[in-house]
Amino acid sequence: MLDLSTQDAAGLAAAPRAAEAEALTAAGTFGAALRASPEFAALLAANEALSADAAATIAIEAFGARQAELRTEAMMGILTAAQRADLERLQKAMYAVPTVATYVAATEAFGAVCRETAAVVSAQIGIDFAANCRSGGCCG
Amino acid sequence: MLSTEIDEAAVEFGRALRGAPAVAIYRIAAEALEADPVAQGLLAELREQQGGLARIQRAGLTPSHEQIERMRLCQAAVRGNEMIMAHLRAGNEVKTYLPVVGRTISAALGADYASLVAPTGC
Repeated sequence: MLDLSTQDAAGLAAAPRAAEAEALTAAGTFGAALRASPEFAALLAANEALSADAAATIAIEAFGARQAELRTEAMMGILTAAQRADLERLQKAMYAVPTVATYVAATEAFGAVCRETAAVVSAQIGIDFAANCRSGGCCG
Repeated sequence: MLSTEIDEAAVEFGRALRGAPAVAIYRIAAEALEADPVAQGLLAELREQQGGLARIQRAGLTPSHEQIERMRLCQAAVRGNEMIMAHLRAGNEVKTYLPVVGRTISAALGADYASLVAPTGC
């Protein structure tokens, strides 16, 4: 049996700190492993291609500008059929640009990997990690 | 399907996180709460009272003085239960700690991990 009388207070306090430091180190290692994944490399490449594509920039800006114009109507649920059709047309045109489509697919693929890892972590700790790892929480 | 490298990294990280004080204390508090019939009874009663009041309000009615008083007593009993309060405190601690962990992952990743894993609708 462990004899607590032989341990000083500083020694006892150091154990939780060490466990916390170990968890943060493991978080960094885990983040680095995700960064080294092929899905993240694909996302970086897609992002680079997107940034260099003028046609993509034009299509994204056109959709973004129209979306901003109609934000109030959309929030209030009073978009007319013509406004809705216009937004859908611009969105379709944006997704039709190959670099945009590749970027969206790469984001989806990497997001799926990250969500799967969060499920693994949640199973380990018994707490919903995805819902609780962002500032301000998410679902309570 | 996760690659072996990522799966192992996630498992290893989860294992280390499980040992972090905030997470370990929360797990102990959650297990203790789950196993405590008095605390469970109080929480069930609180849920019942809250549900009753919500039904009354949805029906456009005003709760009676007696119903409000029962709710107050129930809330006071919950607040006075150390097992429930310990669980609540531990929950608050873990909700403060996990975003710190999330930010550490994001810093190493170079992207916002918390946004990438956020449940739909958040």
